[in-house]
Amino acid sequence: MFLELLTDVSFLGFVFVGVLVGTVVGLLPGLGGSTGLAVLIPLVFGLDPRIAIALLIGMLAVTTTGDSFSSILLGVPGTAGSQATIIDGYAMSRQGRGATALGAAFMASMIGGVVGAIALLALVSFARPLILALRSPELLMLCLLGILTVALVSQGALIKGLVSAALGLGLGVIGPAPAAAGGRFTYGSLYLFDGISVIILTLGLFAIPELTRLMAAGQRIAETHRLDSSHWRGAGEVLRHPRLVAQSATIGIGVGMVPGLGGHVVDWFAYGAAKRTVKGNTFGEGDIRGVIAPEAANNAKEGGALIPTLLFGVPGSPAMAVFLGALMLFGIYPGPSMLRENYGLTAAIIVTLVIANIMATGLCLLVTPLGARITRLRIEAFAPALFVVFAFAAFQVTRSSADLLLLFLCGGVGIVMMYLGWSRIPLVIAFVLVGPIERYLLLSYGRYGWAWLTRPIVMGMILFMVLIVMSPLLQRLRRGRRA
Amino acid sequence: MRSMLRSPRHPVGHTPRVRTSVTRPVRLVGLSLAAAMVLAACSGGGDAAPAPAPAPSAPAPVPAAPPAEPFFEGARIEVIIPFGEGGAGDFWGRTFANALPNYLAGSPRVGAVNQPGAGGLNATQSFFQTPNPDSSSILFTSFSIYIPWILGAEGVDFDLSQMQPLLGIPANNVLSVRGDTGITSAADLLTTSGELVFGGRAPDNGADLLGYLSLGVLGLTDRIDVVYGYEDLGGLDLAFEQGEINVLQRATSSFVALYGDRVSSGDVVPLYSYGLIGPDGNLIRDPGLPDVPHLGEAYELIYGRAPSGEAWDAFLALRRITGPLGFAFWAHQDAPEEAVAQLREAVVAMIGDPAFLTDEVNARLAGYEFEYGDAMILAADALSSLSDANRSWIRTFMLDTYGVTF
Repeated sequence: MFLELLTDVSFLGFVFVGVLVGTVVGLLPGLGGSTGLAVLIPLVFGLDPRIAIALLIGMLAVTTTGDSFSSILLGVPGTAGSQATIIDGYAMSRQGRGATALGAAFMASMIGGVVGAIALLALVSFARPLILALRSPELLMLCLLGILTVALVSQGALIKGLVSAALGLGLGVIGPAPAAAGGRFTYGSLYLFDGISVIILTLGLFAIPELTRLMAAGQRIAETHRLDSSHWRGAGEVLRHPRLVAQSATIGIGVGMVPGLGGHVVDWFAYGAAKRTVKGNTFGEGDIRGVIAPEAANNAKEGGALIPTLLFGVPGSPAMAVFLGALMLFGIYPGPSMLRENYGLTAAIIVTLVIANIMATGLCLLVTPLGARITRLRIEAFAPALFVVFAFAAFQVTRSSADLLLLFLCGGVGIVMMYLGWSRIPLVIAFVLVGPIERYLLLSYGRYGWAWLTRPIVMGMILFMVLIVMSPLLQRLRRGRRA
Repeated sequence: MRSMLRSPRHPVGHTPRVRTSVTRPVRLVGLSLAAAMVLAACSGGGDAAPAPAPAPSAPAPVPAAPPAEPFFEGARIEVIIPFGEGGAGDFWGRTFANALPNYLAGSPRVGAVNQPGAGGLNATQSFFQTPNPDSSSILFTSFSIYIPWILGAEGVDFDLSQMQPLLGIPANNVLSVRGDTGITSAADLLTTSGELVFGGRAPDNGADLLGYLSLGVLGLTDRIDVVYGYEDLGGLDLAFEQGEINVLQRATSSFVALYGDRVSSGDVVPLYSYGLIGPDGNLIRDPGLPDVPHLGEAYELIYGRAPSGEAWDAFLALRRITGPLGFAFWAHQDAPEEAVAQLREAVVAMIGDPAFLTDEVNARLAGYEFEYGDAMILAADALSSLSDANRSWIRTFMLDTYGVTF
């Protein structure tokens, strides 16, 4: 019944509307995937469920495509999951190769998204045992691995990355305790009682310092005088790295499938893995493969995140949580029974994902030349408008002046960290992972006592993490012995 | 510092402005930013958003005698939902907001808006503290918001007894175990061994409180361990699926939708529901789960006699209070008499209209009856009727058993 929809022009039209909204939302820094979905829900309530789902899927699939504009052109994460793209993407943009970077990002996103959708189809019936094996202790380990990975791949020494992460953990503690009454470090303020908003933190830490630096120096983003306007070449470049794309998409699907890990670390896992496996790479200096890896993973994760969402009704990412709520508004309760009785709906979701990804890529590629011109504009021409947009996005959080105050405070911290050369990314990742980490730790100890540490997967992951940290030391020892 | 801010490669001073090829993109950028901002602005408040399409079968207005002066003529009403988008409460909030204009004299514009935060307390607080003499806001609550207020928790600055109820929808929860525990009825709880773990969100979560009290009533606080920290119902469902927890509490309508087929297969065993309040003020079974005993019957199954004692008194008192208005809509304490009267008339017309009672609404209602009119007002008054003895018993129980202060 649902498959007929795919030939229905109005259905496709609604998918396109969702895609359009999703791209714009992803494009604007600060409005993440779940924000956009939350915008759409009031509008879709009361519509035919099939149309509503078309809109929502269209929207969901592509916030992770449109976010590349902001990450690559401005160095500001468009959504949480596109931070890794900034490292090489923004570097390319400053070399005047922004259009190439964007082309590669969109093509990688599209392929990643399509692969993710196919994986969803293939795995949704088989993923059950894997998801069932990942209980609180294992999820805790995955979060810790996320922090370690980010500290490793971000620029600068590992120890600086870990200190930055520690700062993030500290900031993340502010707010409600996961399983106790009252707040921590809230000083009686109702605003702080809900914790610091990650949107404001990200905008303050990344957007403000970067714009400030550019405005102070009176520069354009792209320091060269000639724009390399070959987004098609960038797109074509992706097709020359099939193994990298496959590897990154797999990581995206795998991590996306883990409920509760959130969408924040998947691009880092992919970037970190690519950095280690791609020979002769110049990651950090504008290597196009440093854009391909995280972007492919980022989109693939949406397909992966749909697996626990549809299989168990447990959201695989924050955007999925909103999507799930929307499904339930229509009386659709995902779970094993839905898969059995309503496989047509599942199939329709998967195919819609594929279509939406392709539509979004086409849309973004068309707009790319225009977007890339921004990097050649004099910063004074649009930086004030951008500041207003950032302030606006920050203000959406609680619509009180405290939002703006917090934005400037975080901006101050960001500026200091930038000029002192401390990477801000571990801070943000640790910040968002504090909630899950504390929660899983509480659950692990509460449920299993100290025995949680002796669970097989947990021990394996501890070993893995120790090896990662030790490997530079081991290499040095080996070199010393040979000399 | 200055040298840090400027790149040595670029000379100080202006570069000549490049003309049209650069200024046109600037305008387009500005235009698209403006468009996006308008879109984002539409997300906040029901104001700028287009009115959502009505429910599939457009309800026909019931011809009640129109009041001489419709209070809400040309007005705009905001229904505040103190939870995130897409939750179970969201359905009722939005259904109500969509249907109300068709029954309310003056046909005002009604929109629903989500204001999540602090488990619903933030929005309730701000609703209560903001003056509202034109009744342009209506609050939607669930009983998880009443609990901190009823128990006199710290930091609660609103007063439900001043708000004026408009409509109530009963709510009931059911407690189940996994089939692999070998337990088939409440009677088995004390005769079996084997770990029993109840999953909770936070120890002071109002919605979970009745679960803990029920364990107290049945004398199961040593038999069943409680593990806190699950983020939301989805996390609890998954843990239950995995076997990390094997005792789960769920609202009846969600339970039937999610676990109905697994009850038939024996994988999930519902042991008892907290019960609805019958006409004589005692517990009755949930019409949505007619085979599942209520807590009083579960007690009898275990101990062979009717329940009594302080725990039971406190539970029954709290249940009488929170059952009928499990979900409710409230007008502000400032709302004038005629506004409230017209709202209440509209509600009566709405719930009496077969066109409003779509399949979806009936499924969510799960066999309960709406609370309205005098019964609803009595139920709202009852919210403040918890005796000091019961209140202090509950607080002491939670402190001694689970280390929780309210």
